[in-house]
Amino acid sequence: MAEIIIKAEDLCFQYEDERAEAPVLEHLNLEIEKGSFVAVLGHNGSGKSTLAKLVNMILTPTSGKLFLFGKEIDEENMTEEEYFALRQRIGMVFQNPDNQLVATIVEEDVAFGPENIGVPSKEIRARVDDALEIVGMSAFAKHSPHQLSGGQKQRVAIAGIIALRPEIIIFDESTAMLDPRGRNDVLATIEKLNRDFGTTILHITHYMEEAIRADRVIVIDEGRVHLDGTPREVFSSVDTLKKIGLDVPQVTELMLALDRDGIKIAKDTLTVSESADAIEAYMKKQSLEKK
Amino acid sequence: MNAAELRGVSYVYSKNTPFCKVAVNNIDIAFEEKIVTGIIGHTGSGKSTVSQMLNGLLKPSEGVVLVEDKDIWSEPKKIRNVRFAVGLVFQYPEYQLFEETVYKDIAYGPKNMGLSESEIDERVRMAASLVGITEDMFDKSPFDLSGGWKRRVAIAGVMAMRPKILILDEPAAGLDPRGRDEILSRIVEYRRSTDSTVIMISHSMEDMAVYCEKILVMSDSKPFMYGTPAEVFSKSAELESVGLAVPQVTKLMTELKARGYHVRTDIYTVAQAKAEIARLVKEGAVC
Repeated sequence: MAEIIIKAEDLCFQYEDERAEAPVLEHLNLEIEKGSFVAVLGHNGSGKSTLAKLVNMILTPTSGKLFLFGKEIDEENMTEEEYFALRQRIGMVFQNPDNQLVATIVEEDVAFGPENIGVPSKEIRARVDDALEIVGMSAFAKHSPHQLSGGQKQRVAIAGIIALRPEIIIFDESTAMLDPRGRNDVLATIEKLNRDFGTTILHITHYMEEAIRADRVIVIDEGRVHLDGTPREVFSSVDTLKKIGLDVPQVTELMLALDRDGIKIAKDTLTVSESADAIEAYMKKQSLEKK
Repeated sequence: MNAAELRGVSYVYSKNTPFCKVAVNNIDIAFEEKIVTGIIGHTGSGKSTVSQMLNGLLKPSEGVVLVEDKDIWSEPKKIRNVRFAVGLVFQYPEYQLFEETVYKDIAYGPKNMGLSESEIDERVRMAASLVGITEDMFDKSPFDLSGGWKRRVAIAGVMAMRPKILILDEPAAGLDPRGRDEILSRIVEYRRSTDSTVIMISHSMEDMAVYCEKILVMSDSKPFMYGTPAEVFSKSAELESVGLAVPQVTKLMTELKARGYHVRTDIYTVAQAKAEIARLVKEGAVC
């Protein structure tokens, strides 16, 4: 079994201001293996972004324990150096590409992070070039970010994070504001980071077609892990997902509806080609039986 | 009758500069009144430019924009009236809230129209109820609300001006599935109850399929297709060629057809697909 890189034990969190009502996270338990690509689903207010902020150490737990890289996160018993060192191993990409770019030139923006953590300037150059290469934006290194499309800006934001060389990257609805093409480019970049560089990915999204590309899907509802498994396992729970206000892939819903009407083709297909294969196999089998 | 029409319209950004870009290229398009029309197209296809020309926010570089058969630029000084008649809700309108209370924010538009206090009050209440905002929320600060509710406040603010045509740019962007269905069905309900015209811009083919009566597909600064959802979705290969994501069930039907099965390809909802596959299975078993 791979190393556990993120572990939450009875994790609770409640915002402290007067508007806070119920706790956002309630005794959440979770283990994530190093190198996995995990999609996190949940409706707005389910606690998924709060979980992301806890893992990124922007927030600290109200109670319960959080372990990152095997170390318990405990501000009081850690030196500031230890705390920041840990923080540098985790990166986060946010929703709005316009809020994440700070410089007037793409490559300067990517260099912002490494400069801040004191990377020697020669190495910064190499890191920036590498990062832009990985996200496929090298050709735009000298461009101004405001001339880029949303998807391109988001890839520059990702390059800025990659240049910090984190072992975990959290994408907090980073595809929500992009068009289908931009979304696909960003997702391909995420898959590449996971596959070629072994980066552990936590991808928070509302798009089911993105979630089916992950190794594992976690559904958060009312501050707890509600469903957890492979995309196939999780999306076969069509009724549960719909009840908590989430979508399922259309073909999964279609196959389940057919199954309920006595047309038993397959119950757990996720993609178009899988479904077409299943229908074709079913039709062939039927015509053979006829003969 | 047509609610609005573009005749020979072009729009060029930053004309006579190195950044000059043709956003809309000599188009003729008529928007039918009293229906929900969807405009779809990838980033840079010209869809937002079209919507901003319809309410006079942008003046076409060439051609004529007609609203209720009248050239909106015939009297440039009265363009403000066009903006009251054609309400435009921008993308992420929740970033434009600014008043102290929900009530005041919704009332801002009607107030600018110079209406009486009682008329304003009636309109605010009506618009609020159309988007599901209850009276106990009126005195709250809009900034204390969640993103989905902020957006409803912003949309109500435009609805309260009772435009004849309401245009919304990506009204469901960034919302979770439940929030998205809630907002879009409220918009359709608004159209029905006010007997007005709605034009909605979206990236989501699935949403268009469910909520729109007609769909305009833009590509490369021009209309690429224009018709009912069934007409548009029957051409999934063409849609994908211009970078649009067609619904999964539409793709499935196209795939089955390509494999030699006789199925309809103008299908875009799960219920339609279910009926069609049930038919295929039944007929396949017969022959």
